[in-house]
Parts: sequence; structure tokens; C-alpha cells
Amino acid sequence: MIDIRNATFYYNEPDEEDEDAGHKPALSHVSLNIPFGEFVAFLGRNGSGKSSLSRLLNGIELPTEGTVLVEGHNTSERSSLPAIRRAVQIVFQNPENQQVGITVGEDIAFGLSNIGWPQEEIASRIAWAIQLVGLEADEERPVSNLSGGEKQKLALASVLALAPRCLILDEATSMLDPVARRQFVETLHEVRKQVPFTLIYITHHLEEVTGADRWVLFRSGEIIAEGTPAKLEQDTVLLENCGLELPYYHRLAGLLRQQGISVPADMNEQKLRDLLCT
Amino acid sequence: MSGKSFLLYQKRNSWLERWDPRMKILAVLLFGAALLLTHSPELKTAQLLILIALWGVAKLSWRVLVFTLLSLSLFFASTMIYQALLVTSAGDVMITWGPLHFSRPGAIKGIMMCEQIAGIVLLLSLLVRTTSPILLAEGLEILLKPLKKWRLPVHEAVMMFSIALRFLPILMEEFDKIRKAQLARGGGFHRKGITSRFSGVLPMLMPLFVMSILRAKDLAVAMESRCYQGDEGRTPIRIYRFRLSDYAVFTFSLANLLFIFVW
Repeated sequence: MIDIRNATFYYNEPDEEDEDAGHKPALSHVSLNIPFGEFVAFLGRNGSGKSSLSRLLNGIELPTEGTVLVEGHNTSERSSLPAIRRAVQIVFQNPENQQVGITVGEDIAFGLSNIGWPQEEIASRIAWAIQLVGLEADEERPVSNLSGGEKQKLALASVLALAPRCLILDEATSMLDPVARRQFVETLHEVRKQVPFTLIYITHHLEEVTGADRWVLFRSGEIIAEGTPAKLEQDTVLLENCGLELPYYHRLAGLLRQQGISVPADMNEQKLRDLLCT
Repeated sequence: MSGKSFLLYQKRNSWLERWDPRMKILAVLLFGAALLLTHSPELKTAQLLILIALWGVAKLSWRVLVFTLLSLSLFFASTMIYQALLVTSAGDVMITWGPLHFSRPGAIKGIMMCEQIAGIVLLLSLLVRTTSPILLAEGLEILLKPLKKWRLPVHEAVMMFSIALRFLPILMEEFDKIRKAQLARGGGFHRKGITSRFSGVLPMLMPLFVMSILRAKDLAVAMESRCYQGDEGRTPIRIYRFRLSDYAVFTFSLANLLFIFVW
């Protein structure tokens, strides 16, 4: 579905006559292939290139070098952008900065209107999207009356209404409190059971992506490692180098192992609780 | 009073909210024209009273109405002084203060001007407070559609207008946050004296300006990523149909304007 070939990206292109100006690429020679339906987590420190790559996937930014193909469409070709943007949708960090409508219904309708969704079906699609994300609000409810978690659910509903093939969550939970964050993640996984799509999850919180098919670790604009969570979470040094911290139950399992207690490798919160209780 | 309650459209399920946005815009234009064209103090007062009554019908806060009118007090005062000094009539001088003469016709003219300013502000305020920005934008776009033939960027202008309305309360909240943050660090705008207050406000403008630009940039990216590309290929969100009440509103506004000419 997504094929990134040797992509390099500068926010400000370096001046050829002044090569020593200290310009660093936001992404440097990145190659990645993501098939349809995969759940991929982009992980790394701030400024490591995760969000920049997500912007390349939606055609908001174009690679300085290399190519980005989304379902066979090259993002550098202007004529392909409508199809690419329809296929790849992004939920951003701050819900306030991505809401155009005053009411829930108007905000969901904005994207539908942009893609020329049949007018007589817009109302039913809005109702479908609200129900899909479990937003406890009718379409007439003002956006300003929603809580932070509800606003982010609305952002999710607004992009899911467009039936994207790939959804990117760009630190979408970072402005939410722990309860709202957990609810948002649960909602997302419930939605994925009903509507299949590729999920690219950008976060600093590893506990949100333990169920991912693949982790991709970024550092200084480069992909330094990729693999299954089970494989990468063993390498704590690598994770620390990427500014990441394993969930508490992984750290606790590590401490137990140091004490000579046998703890299985594929540990999760439930398994560790069961182990400790027995 | 929070910026949100002062500026934002809030759904109240009032009769005015259900009017067709196109008709509301037309009615505002007709009513505004009548307000500007009438030279009778009684008619101007009557029109202002109608607007105040409509404010009640729209279930809007009376506190906001008072706040809106009070915020115009500087305009009212300067208009009264200007008119009183400008319109002089030898026989009708009410107050003489040195070389200045305040006449009765001048005072009446000043009151009429104040009513006119208050009327226009209330009229626009009613429109903005009882119509969702998206509906307002769609209504405006439909009305201005003929201008597209001359390749005027009607859709883009209307979209900018609706987003500006949507973001005004957010910007006011941000302004308040910056003000409080600077107050906590000893900002000078709470001190006595106009000069120190003014110089205290200046440092708030730059962060507000930068923040506005950043928010606008984020919103533009979010809109673009949700497939926004101007009005090309867009379907209107709603189907607009005039109802009996809309025709009644239009007829009343037109009759009001014609009455001004006949009076």
C-alpha cells in the first residue's frame, strides 16, 4: 500500500553554494514498505523524523529526493494528490487546530463535502461515523462543548467518515489525560475490528503500541531499527537511545528476572499480574 | 465574561436560528439600509427597539447585549460631542461652554447617529450569533455565486471569513492566557497610568501574532489533509429551501425599507 523509496526531506532546502550552513535533513534516505492492514508504530524522540514522514505520506510535504508511493500514486505528482489524500488521513496532536466546523456534524461533513460525497448521504454518513467512534454527542452538539477526549474522537470520526485506506495518528493522544488516552486507544482498536485500514501510530508511549505488528524506530531522520515489538522490546539500550521507555510491567519483569525469578519473555500487564498473584 | 460566550455562536434552538441563512443575510442588508437611510429619530428608535426585541426572541444573553453596547460607549461619546459641536443652531443652544455651543438639533443628530451605530452593531451581532459560521459561509457563497463568473475568489473569501469567525473566541482565550502568564511574571498592563498599561500590552501582541500564524498553519494543513482544495468538486453540506417564515422575514425587511422612503 505504501512504498517509500530512499526518501530524503528538508524543511528548508540547503543552499548549494553554502553547504556548510548546517542544514540537516528531517529525513535521510528512508525506505519503508507498509502493506495494507498492517499496524505500524513510528517511535523515536521529538524531531527524529516520525511526523515528517507521516506528512510525506499524505502529500502535505514532498520528498526532496526519492519517491513516496501510496497505492501506486506518486505523491510528487500533483494530479495524484486528491486520490492520495483520500487514501491517507491524519489525526493530529491538537484537536482544536484540526476542527473546522462549529458543531460535530459540520466538522464531519467538511471532509465529506470536500470529496464530493453525495449530498443525500452526508447525514447518514455523519451518524455512522459518530456511532463508529462511540462519540456520545449528537451532530448538533457544539464542538466547544466537547471534552479533550471527545474532541479527539471527533477528529477520528471526521477522518474515518472519508473511508481512508490508511490512518495516521500523529501523537493523537499526547494532549489527553490518561483515562481519555486509554479510552481513545480502546475505541481505535474497536473501530479497526469493524473497518479494516492500515494504521500508522506515532507516539512516545510504548504501552499504546504493544499490539502493533511492527515498530519502526527513528533517530536523527533515519530509520535505525524495525521489527516486531517482541523482538525490539528486548533491546532496552536501543529503546533508550531513541528516548523511549518500556511500559512499567516490562521494567518490573526485568527487575524480577534480575532477582532470579523466572518471567516469560512475552510479558504483558495481565500475564505479569497473574504471575505475581499465583 | 469569557471570550467564548462573548463571541461564539451557540446553539439555542431559537426561531431566528431556523431562518434560512441566505434570507437572514438579505434581511440584514435591507434592515441595515433602512437604518442608515431613515432621518426620523422616532423611526430610528423604533428600529433599534425591534432589534432589541429580536435579541430576546433569539434567546441571546441580555448581559452580552449590555456588554456590547457598553463597549461602544467611546464611539457614542465622541459621536455626541462631534455632532453637538458640528450642528449649531443659534436659537437652540442648550449649553454654552467657552467658545463651544451645544445645540438641541446637534444633540438629536448625535443621538440618531448613536442609535445608528448601535443598530448596525446589533444587526450584525444578531446575524453572527444566530447563524453557524458554516451556514453563514454557505449562505454568503450562494448569494455571491454570480461573482464567480468574473473569476472572483468568492469561495476562498467566504471560507476565510467563516474560519476567522470560528477562531476569534479561541484567539481571545489565547490572549487571556498570555495576559495571565505575563501578569504572573510582572507584566505592566495592570499598573496605573495609560502609558505603562499600553507598554504592558505591547509584549502580548507578538506572542499572540506568532500563535495565530502557527494555528492558522496547523489548520491549513489539517484542512488540506482532509482533501480541501477550494470549491472544486465540493458538495454543499445542506440543501437550502425557503420556507414561509423566510418569505415573511424578507417581506417584513423589504416593507420596512419601503416605509422609510414613504415616511
